[in-house]
Amino acid sequence: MSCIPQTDLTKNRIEEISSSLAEPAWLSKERRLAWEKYIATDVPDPKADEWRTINLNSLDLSKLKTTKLNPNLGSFETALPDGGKLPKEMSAALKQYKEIAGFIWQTEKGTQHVYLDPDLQKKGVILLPLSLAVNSHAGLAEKYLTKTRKFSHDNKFSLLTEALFNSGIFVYIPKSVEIEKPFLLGFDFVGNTCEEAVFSRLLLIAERNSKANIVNVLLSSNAKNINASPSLSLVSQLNELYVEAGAKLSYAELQDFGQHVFYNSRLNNYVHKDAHVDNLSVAIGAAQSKVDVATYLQEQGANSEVLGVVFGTANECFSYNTIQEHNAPDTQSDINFRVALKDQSKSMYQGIIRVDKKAQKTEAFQSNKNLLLSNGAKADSIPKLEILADDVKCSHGATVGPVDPEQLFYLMSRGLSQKEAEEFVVLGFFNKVLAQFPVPHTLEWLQGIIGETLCTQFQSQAELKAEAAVLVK
Amino acid sequence: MTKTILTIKDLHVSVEDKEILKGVNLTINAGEIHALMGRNGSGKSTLSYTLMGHPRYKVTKGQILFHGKDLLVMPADERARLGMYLAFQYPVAIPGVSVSNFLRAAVKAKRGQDVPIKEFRAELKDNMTKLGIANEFLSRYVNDGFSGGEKKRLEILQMALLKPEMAVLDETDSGLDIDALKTVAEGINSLASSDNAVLLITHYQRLLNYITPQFVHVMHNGEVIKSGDSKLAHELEAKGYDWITQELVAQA
Ligand SMILES: Nc1ncnc2c1ncn2[C@@H]1O[C@H](COP(=O)(O)OP(=O)(O)OP(=O)(O)O)[C@@H](O)[C@H]1O
Ligand SMILES: [Mg+2]
Repeated sequence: MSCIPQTDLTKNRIEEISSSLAEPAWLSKERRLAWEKYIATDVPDPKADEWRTINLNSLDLSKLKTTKLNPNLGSFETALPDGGKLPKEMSAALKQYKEIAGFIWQTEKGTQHVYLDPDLQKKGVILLPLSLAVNSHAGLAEKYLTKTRKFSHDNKFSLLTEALFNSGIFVYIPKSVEIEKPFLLGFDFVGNTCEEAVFSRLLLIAERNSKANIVNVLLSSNAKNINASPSLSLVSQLNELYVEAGAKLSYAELQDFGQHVFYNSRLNNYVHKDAHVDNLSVAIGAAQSKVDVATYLQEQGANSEVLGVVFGTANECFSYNTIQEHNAPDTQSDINFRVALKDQSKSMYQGIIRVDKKAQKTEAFQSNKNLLLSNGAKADSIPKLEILADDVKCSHGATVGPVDPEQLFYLMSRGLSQKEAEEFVVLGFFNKVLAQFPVPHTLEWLQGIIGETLCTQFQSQAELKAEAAVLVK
Repeated sequence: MTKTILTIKDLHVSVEDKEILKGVNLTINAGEIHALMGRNGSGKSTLSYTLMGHPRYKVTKGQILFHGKDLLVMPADERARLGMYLAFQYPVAIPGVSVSNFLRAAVKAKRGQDVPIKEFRAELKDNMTKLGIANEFLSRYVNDGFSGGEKKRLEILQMALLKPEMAVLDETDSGLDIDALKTVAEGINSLASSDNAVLLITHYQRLLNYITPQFVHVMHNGEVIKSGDSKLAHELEAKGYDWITQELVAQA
């Protein structure tokens, strides 16, 4: 298949998408508004803190073509799929969690499998591909999708996502419905040798006093077989979590895309009165990752805990920006972000804490620790505090450094090889964050996935020597 | 026939170009318990780290042989798998790594094969009971937030599981309360056998009330300047170190 070097990131494409999905008029209008904003917004400044670790040249907007999704693909099923037929990250999740409230499996070709526990369906829970929900639940979808534009964000890619999204998921938890078992969402971006673009939106609504746990897996199932083209494919997401008064929502995301992917993501948490949100972002893949996680604590008593774990290898570049925005009194936010980097990988963490004048008695904490596992790896950490209230408790802390040689020696003195010792230290470093995420079995599932990645990434000295010997011959 | 486990010959060790050990000689045979005493800063821990292969301690001269094999060419993990063990004076915390995962990995590395989980659990329980370590410690992170005494107990628990031929215990008695001292001493005694050997580094006679060493050595300024039997420890307890250093001056 040859690539036609002509982008379709155009206004025309909006009409095409809208009409092919038979979208309501308000949504087409919303898309056009986003497009206007996109055009009016400056391109990212490659020298700005949030962009300077990212290689913007790896993305060629003049070549990117949006994927053509088949809206009729896939089906509503009465059961979960056979785990054996899914990529390993997904099958491992199914195995660990055992009980699943709902399941959506999407690829760049479209939705493959939708399942929702019938009991939950009876209670009014909705789990649908977004393209269907905008018609079947137009009232709800319109109410929330049109709210987005009130929150200014300057990320050009997120605006483009709002204009051109062609994939997505809609989850709705009605008032007072409490669900312990998680929803499992998955997206497989296989890609091919052409530069493609997938824009997707995730809309999660937890109504008053409801409770839900969401696990979202992003991966490239045959990443190893992809011949990366010189410029990357784009996966751009806009994920929004509406946590209404008294609700509790936990959202975990695992990003394990292939090296052909430029990943851009914006996650907005809107937290209302006495509501609580937990986020966990785990990134172990993609060539370039630019991720913004914003928490808007909008009403009194709102509360959030944002966790992050990044493991970089090869030439991967990460830029994580967290925003803790306190707009009401007695609100709390806590951020704990840990990054471990191997090879030539790079990371920038920027943590913004904003406290509005009226947000007295705010408590906002931020911690970012970076472990450098090779001489070529680089990590940076920048806190930015904009505090207008006077009665607040805020703290931030950052560290960047190599693995503690005393820890390695201690482990090796017990017989563990250097490779095993390093793996232990890194896994332990991540565990301190992963263990804080409240959804049961998430820790074990992610430990397994990360452990496997570490295992292949930390070659033993013996293996390296053997490899060197082969190369010399 | 005596079987020599460890031979230290004219060992010179430097840290950051500063010579700390200045010609240490010591031979330890199977079935023996040796005590090593000496003032703060005399070089006891330097010797223990060097025996285990800490990369910061550079051997500039001399030899360390384990059953006649040159230990100096081996990294710490290889020494451990051969049968060397060091109970640290200051055990290191490994945040995020649970005690049970760590112990299982260590036992697997030492024995060269995975131990069936049930068997491992039973062995672990048994040793933990003996050492008075509560079950909850298994799910805690290695030495993370442990009290001084808890760390020392975990060091002995590891020794019990790894069954080293040559154990170096660096001030395992310090920081232990009176009851814990007895428990830990009993643990060490039950592990000492005619097939292995122990080098006890300590400041206090009170540990030696429970464990009787055949040999007591005094280290001073990077050298072993006096060796004797268990009576020497009593003498040190009563008189301190000055008389030995004075003897040394008189001899010179
Ligand atoms: N890593 C190091 N860097 C610099 N100096 C060191 C280092 N390790 C040991 N030393 C020095 O070497 C000397 C011996 O220290 P060592 O820890 O071996 O003493 P010790 O006999 O174990 O003392 P203590 O009874 O207090 O435990 C001391 O003067 C110490 O400051
Ligand atoms: Mg010491």
